[in-house]
Amino acid sequence: MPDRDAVLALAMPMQGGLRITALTAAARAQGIEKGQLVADAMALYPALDVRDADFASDRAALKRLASWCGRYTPWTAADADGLGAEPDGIFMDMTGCAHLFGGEEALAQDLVTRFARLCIQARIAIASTPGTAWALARFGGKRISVLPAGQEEKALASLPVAALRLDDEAVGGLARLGLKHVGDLYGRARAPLTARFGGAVSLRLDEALGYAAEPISPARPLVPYRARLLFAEGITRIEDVETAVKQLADELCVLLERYHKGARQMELALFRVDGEATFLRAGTSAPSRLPAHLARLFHEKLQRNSDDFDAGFGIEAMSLSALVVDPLAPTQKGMTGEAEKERDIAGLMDRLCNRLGAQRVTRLQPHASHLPEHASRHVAVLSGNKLVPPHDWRVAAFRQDDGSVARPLRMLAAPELIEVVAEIPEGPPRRFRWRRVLYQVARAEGPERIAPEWWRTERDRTRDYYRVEDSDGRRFWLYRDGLYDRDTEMPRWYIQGMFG
Amino acid sequence: MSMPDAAKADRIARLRRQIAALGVRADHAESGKTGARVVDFGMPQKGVSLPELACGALHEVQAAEYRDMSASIGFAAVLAVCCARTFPDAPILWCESAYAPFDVGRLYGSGLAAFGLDPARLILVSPASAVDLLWTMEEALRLGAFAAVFGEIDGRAPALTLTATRRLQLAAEAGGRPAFLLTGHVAHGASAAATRWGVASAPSHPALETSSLVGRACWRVTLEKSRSAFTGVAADMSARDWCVEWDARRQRLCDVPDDPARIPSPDVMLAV
Repeated sequence: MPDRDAVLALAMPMQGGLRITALTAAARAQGIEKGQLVADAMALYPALDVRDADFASDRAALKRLASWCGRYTPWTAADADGLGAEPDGIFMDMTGCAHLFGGEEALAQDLVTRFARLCIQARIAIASTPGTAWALARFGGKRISVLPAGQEEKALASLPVAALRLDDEAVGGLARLGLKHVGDLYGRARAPLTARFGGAVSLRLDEALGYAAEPISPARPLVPYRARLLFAEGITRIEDVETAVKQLADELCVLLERYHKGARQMELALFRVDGEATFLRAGTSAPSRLPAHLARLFHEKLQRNSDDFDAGFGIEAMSLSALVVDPLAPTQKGMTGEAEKERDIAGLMDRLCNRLGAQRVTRLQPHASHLPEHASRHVAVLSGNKLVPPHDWRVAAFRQDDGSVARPLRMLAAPELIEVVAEIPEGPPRRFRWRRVLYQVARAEGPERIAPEWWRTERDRTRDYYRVEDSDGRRFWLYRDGLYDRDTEMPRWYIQGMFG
Repeated sequence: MSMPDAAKADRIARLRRQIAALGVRADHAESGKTGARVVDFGMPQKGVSLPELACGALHEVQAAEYRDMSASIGFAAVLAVCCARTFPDAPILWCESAYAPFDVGRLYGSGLAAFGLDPARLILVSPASAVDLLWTMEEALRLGAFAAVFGEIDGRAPALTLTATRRLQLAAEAGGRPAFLLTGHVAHGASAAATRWGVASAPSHPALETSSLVGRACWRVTLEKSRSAFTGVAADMSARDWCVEWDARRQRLCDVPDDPARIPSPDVMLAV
């Protein structure tokens, strides 16, 4: 936490040398001003603590703070222009939110108090247009100003023209014309102003007075499906967070139900007392508005990260939003319960993928290849947030008339080299050694010759496969890699799979 | 009327088995749960003597030794086929251990299809840890939406405690679907499973005795442990051990003589 009484200033090289860009109240009390040369400031107060200005970090911090302000309204954005070269404010659209905090005045008070706890001296203005709020916050002279609708003209009249978010050049130009206050511009012919200063002056004036629309683009995606929860005191236990998630899910699902929607992508926002915000996301494979299911998705996420779960000094607000929704008609419960079972399975797949990772939940997919290791593939059950339907395996059977099978149940990750003794070079093995254990072959069937796929780039050899059974009844799938004389002098043997 | 001792023991065993089976049915009929269902082995009326497996329960399958791991997988695949038949529309969840691909390999689609287990019915999960695997199984069992839930886990895993198996057993009961833990070749400690099966490879019996070809898959299965209803069977040594083979074409399990010289069919003996 920064020290309130520190005599501190930030500086950066500008015209004429290092100049001060920001300073604390204590420094200002020593007579130091913004824009002063550091050398002059040091003459006033030799113990001044001067540090380098870091605008990139400032901007990042401002952005984080804007995210945190999402606890009041989803519609927040770090201001694009500040009263200098760098942004220094946050816009919040309070429309329809203020009543949740006891009115605009109370909300502003709450915000100031919270910022003060973070050692941020904020000035807050609430007005009907962003332009007026911007001006009042910077030039209003009050810590909190709440302007009733319709009084913009009056309130702005006495403020300097810089309050209209104009650049220095325009402000200077207007001053030379004797137009020092915003009120001086009222009722003036627009054409000469525009001719002289471009459209900016009229536009900014219109925006401030509400004659021109000024949309704020929110920092985070804006969603209509959102539930939020405030806590009187910051909560720190993960169990409490989960209880809150359940409550949020209930609320969100009521909202989704009303509009016949189901959530596909959700975001849980945790707003911490110390001005940080954490965002967790979870997806579903099919639109869902079952509170228990949605809550469990986050339960798994939270449990997974429970070790590095950090509530800081406590979480004071949470919100759950459905970022992506799909239509989901209200359903009647099926008579047989089959539909529910299917939905249950889809729900479980979501949760498995969320906790274990999508690549760990797979189905087997047949693939048109002669090479046995390519003929069966593991594909993720969830692809692009959709459940992959099962594949048709009927074509790929290797069942034999006597009720035995010609393909192993299990395939090794890669064929393993074995030592083989065969009676005749081209014949089946008599015994073989695999992983240092010797197996006596009692029965053997083969060869099943599988030729390499010449259109592939890898250079494979022809393989002769044998199904063998050892003296104890264990079955293996072995192959001789390459043909005698044609491919190689001494073909090698591999084990590729095991029958049950 | 006098009977040879062996035949007498055999008959008693068969009667006990019948009583045990009746007992199970009666119990579950009272409770009126779907758990009353048993796994459909697809066996013909005569000739197969494996006890019935309750659906809402946890069963363990263990390899007799390391080299029999694939035999235990084969027997588990039979169980999977039978469960798939018992619950025709439900998928099967199969959890592999993370190191399986490098040790005993991964399930192979073409092989499963040939074996009689439609790979399209399988959902495979390969959790990174035993804890995740047990969690996955429990969640899946509670749903009661899968035909069966299989889990390959190292019997020595510290996470595989009595409590863990108890949780699985309860989840299986709640969902009314069977769970199978494949614990490799190492016996783990106390378990709440309803049954534990030991599986060892057995030489196949080709159609022609003289043939050197590989016949149908064949295993020697041992009922090593049975809670509740099958204790009568388990107490009887002669009825604890079966040699069965899998007919992949007709998809059924058949008894085969373990050692052709040893056991004639019990029916024949009773007729003496």
